[in-house]
Amino acid sequence: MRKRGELDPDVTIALKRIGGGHILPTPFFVNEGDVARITDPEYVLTFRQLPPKARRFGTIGLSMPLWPLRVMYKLVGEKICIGTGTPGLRPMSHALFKRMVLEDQRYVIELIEILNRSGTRVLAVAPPALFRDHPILSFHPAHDALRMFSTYQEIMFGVLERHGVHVIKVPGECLDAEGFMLQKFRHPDPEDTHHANAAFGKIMIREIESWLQTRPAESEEWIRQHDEKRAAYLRQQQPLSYPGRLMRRIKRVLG
Amino acid sequence: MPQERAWAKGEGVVDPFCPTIEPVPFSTVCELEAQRDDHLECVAQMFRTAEVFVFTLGLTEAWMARSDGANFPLCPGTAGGTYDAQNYIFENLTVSAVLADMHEFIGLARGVNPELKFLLTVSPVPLAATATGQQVAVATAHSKAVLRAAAGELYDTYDFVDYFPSFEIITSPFMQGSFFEADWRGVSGQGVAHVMRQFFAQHVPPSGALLAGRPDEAAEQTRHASSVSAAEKAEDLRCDEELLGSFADEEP
Repeated sequence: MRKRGELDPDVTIALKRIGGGHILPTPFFVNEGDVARITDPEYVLTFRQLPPKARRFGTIGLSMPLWPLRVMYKLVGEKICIGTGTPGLRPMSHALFKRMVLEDQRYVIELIEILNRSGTRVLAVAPPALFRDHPILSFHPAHDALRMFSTYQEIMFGVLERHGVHVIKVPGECLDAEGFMLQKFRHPDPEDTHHANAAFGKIMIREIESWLQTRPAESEEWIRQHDEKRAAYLRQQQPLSYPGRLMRRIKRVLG
Repeated sequence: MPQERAWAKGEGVVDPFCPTIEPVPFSTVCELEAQRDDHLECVAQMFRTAEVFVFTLGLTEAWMARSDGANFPLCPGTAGGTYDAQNYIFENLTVSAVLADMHEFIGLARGVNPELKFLLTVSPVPLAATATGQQVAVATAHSKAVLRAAAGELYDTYDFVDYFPSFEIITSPFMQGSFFEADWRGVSGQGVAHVMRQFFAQHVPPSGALLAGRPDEAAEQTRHASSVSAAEKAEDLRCDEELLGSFADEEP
């Protein structure tokens, strides 16, 4: 898009896939206060640490906080619904569902806290919604699957708001009246009912771009707020103060 | 049907008969009742199909509704609802009261499932608090003695009732309290494992052939779960392919 002049020259957007989402509910990094040192062997191929050391980004966008399918597959496999009165399915309370969502996102939320402390603004970018022929819908009533998907995201919207993370949602132009993704955004591989295509990617990049244009990450106000937060955190976490971290790094190199 | 259907707690409601089962209260009575209906249906199904019902006798101290005698597991007002002496009464069940309840329960359960057998145990976990006014160790000894005596009498009365001595294994003086956690209440994982080893040494688990003959419903659930799991794995595979594609696309 940049080469074709489709992006604002003042905005630089780099896209990276970190790896499979099934790894996210596992401890895929070590918390070093204001740096997450990536330890998962798959993720480390893309990032050794977050925020990246080699290049400073004012904002890091993550789609990981908003992907509900891990939890949905668990519930669908056990024939559990989150609504009431669906024949053949066992109901689950909203509170328990919320607990599962927060457990699923435990490490992602910790990562967001680290990024916040590092002075990097975090943005959540919604992944594609469900396509109408997504395999999970062959096992579960569509209305409840959509409700699980949206409830998961609403729970996370609340978490993200509390962490000062703005969310770029899937624009209404990409969805049908029920909330399914329009077929024109299907992946070029007809067997892939999960990922979307480049056209959808462009729409989301434009959404990100327009948001970044209105809220520059490097504004003095933003930097001041985060410097204050970071300083407060370092004061609280004496073992993670600079000498402590330096010693730990020396030990790691020696060990 | 008990008259008390829901207790208010915070901005939500809890089930008076299992007020701490959920991490936070239900949002609405409707949500609570849907959960309870489903749970009770599972309990009914369990009674219809079970071969052995394992029943751990745990407490003698009970809070009852004066209106209909409904028994609550926790004092109203502690985990939901509001305590009012006009509505509730405390009772510390005697051996004869426990036996009367158990005889009635066994009769009802075998009315649904005439082949059902019972395995009784007594919880070794001491009381954390008591409403009797006695010192808690005294109240614990009394409560456990009542339950152990009732379990023994039921074992002597019915040939389809057995007793497994997990209480004695954990609490006997010659164990020197070694199976309790540091709080001297909770049973350690090591203690549980020891009890279960003794249990399975005497009660051999069903063979694979027996398990293979499970009811159709269970087999169907297993097939369903396998299909869903396969679909999820296929999706993970698509992600891996996308990831590999992204490395291939990267400029050198």
